[in-house]
Amino acid sequence: MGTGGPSAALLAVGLLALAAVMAASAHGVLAERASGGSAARGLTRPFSEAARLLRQRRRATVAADRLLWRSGGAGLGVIPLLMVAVVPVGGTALFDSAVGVVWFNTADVIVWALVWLLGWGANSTYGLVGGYRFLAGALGYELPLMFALTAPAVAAASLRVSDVVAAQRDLWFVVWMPVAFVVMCLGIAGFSVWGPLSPGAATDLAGGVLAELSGPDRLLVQAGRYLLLAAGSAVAVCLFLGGGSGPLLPEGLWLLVKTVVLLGVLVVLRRRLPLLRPDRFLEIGWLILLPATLLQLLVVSVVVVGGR
Amino acid sequence: MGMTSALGRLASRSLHVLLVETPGAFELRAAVERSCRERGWPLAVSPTDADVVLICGRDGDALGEAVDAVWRQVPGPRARGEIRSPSEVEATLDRLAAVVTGWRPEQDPIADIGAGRANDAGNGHDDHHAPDDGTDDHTDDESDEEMDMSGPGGIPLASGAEDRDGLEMDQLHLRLGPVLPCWPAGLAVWCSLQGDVVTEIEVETAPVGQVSPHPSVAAAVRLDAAGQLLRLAGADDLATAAHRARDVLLADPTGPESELESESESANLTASLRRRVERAWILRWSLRGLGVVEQVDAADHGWSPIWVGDVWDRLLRLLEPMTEPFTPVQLDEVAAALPLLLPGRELATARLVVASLVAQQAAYADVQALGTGA
Amino acid sequence: MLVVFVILAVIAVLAGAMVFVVDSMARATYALAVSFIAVGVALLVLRLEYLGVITILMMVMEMAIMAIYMIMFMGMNPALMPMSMVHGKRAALGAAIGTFLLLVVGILLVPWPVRPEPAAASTQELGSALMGSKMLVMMTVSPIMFAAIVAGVSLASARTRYDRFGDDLDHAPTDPQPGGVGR
Repeated sequence: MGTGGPSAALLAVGLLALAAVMAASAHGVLAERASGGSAARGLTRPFSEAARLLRQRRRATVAADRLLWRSGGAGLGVIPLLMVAVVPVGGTALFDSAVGVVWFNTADVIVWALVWLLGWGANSTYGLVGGYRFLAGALGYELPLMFALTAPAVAAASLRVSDVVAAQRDLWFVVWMPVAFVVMCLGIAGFSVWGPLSPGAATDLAGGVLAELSGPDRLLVQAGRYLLLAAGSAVAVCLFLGGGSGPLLPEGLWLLVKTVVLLGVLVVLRRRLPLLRPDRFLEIGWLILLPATLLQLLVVSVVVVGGR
Repeated sequence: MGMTSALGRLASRSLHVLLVETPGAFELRAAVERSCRERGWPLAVSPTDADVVLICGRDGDALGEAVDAVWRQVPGPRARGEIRSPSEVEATLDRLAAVVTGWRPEQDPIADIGAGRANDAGNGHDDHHAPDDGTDDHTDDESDEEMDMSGPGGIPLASGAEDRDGLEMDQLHLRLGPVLPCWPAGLAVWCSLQGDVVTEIEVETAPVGQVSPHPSVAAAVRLDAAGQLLRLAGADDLATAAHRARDVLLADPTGPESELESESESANLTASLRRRVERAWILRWSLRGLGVVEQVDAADHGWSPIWVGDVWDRLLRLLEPMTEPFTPVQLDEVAAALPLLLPGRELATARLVVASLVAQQAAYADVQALGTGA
Repeated sequence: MLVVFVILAVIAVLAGAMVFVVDSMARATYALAVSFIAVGVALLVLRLEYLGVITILMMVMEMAIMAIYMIMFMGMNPALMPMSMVHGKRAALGAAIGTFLLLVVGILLVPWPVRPEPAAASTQELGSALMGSKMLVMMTVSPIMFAAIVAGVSLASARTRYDRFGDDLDHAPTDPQPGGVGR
């Protein structure tokens, strides 16, 4: 396993952006279908929205803490890049860390700080409430997510993502770790502040942390959310769906195909689910998901120890 | 230049529209919403999210002020317009789109973007206290517990009060409405918030305009309310379905036959929507137990018995076939009930509760049978 | 490598000092977070990958949680109000200098072991240390810490389980906000 150079970095970022745009387009198509519009309009929705935000003026609020506000937004654009850094593409990862799984977990925890800063910095009630509401929701998904991430690492006896991929040569982990995989998918939606797990940016709070964002700042955050979704899916593919392994096609292509399929499933589910508000979801997270992932981990550990 | 105009043309394919419904202009707003949906223009969820601010109906004095406050928060490129009759909808939307596409920042300078007072409607720093310009020296210790000082930007500091656990906590003041998406027209609620929990409210209502008493309009009002509630709950596809069923009902009747047709088509759509909602068990889980009105309480306060139950019950009731005669719950009744129902709820929950109370029909044949549901 | 380490060390110290210079609680909180992130990256530079990454993870999470407590316990609106981040200067200064001296003396006096080979598997070594020779300590410390947290929360809460479930603990809970599992 090696560590890639600048060209590999560009390739990885390009593929990530491609997957993110595809997810946004798919979401646009489904939304248009629900309202009886044309699929073409939905397909180009991400581009027209981007054009709209590029033209828009940046808004400032009274006594905003601009430094914190802008760093929250900028950070959301950087975190997905840190996440894909540990994803092995065709045998090389940009940063093939020995602790890749923990690295990914750290990146998703930094989102906690960034979303809160985004809500706080704007100095508006909706933003503030949205930031805190995001944290409340994050308490619900993060601990189960942490244990869900441990399961593949325990099975592969390594925290290195490429080792985890290699350990799935015979059997994808999703087959015997379904609970961990489902929790991982919830976690991806959670740290992407997206869909049913976006209580911090929901309509019932007039957009929450997004309520005062406009122009390029908003574009950065919206793009960051889809990039996070794509990066999270790519990591989930590596941890549970065998990474780049598959017949005929080259490894990189398989990784992309699997990531896009997983993104598609997430987008379809998103259209079918209502908002999981933290006042309800927190109990689910702690009383159902957490014990379930711990049981999953127990099963994995017993299998690993017994198989030795 | 070519680049800029290309960007403008691309952007105009998804303009975000903030609709301001004046009391009584329900049909007009529905017509505009329909046209926006057909154009692929999303409805804005906050002033910052909007390109177009569109007033449906007459621009009342009180509302005019609120609209101005909202307008100051629209970043631009932006356009503002007014619609008074359904025949104007398409032309007005086209005109506003052209304004946004050809918009130049130098023609629309906003000196006060970010510099003005923050207590604009929807922005949420409103406080009943006038700001005083006491200079504060924050030196060393916790001796500065004085709460009524003016902070930067002339915003009065939050004052404290006991929260529901008996601990002292900051209070923020937020005005919900009258210009707020998915919110009943003519209603404004001043909330005191601690964190995201509503502690006290004051309600203002504007004089209610007359909605057409036609039965299909009455049915459309209920579908509209169901759609707004679903949208707040995050069930976007179901919300769109509700609003499409509403628009079928309101479709321009060219003759008595087509009216009958559209009514039966809408009845089918409503029935299928109701089945979809009933099957949405996660939605049910998320709305159950919110804003519960007990039968005894409703009787004690003289509230409409149709409110008995929780938000979920009331959502299903909105999707039931209408019983004759339809007498909608008046806004004043909602206003009278809110001070008892909202305090202690979260901000988001409070909005769901408000959305579930409006547009219910007061004279319900058999409320006992409905009860509080399972 | 040395240059990178020195730069990170300077960032860590400066960001740490900013905690007491800035005039807003949010900025102080996240200046501390930046300081810890610099320390974490410095650990990465020292090839202590697991410790470095876990430091960043724990500290950022902790700062986010601290923001919640900030709202819970501060009787002020810290977003708007510039306020000093220094309280009880003299005692704090004394304690800080004392701790610093203690640590420096400790660093200089402790006979540091010479590492026999490069730490290729530092994560594994850490794991076997925790699960082997230090197992007893870890097994004792974690329940005590957990018990302390639970005790702290239940002492701070105004409502006891008798308020929630009734005198015989057999009622449905009366919570201001119903939860999600339908108890």
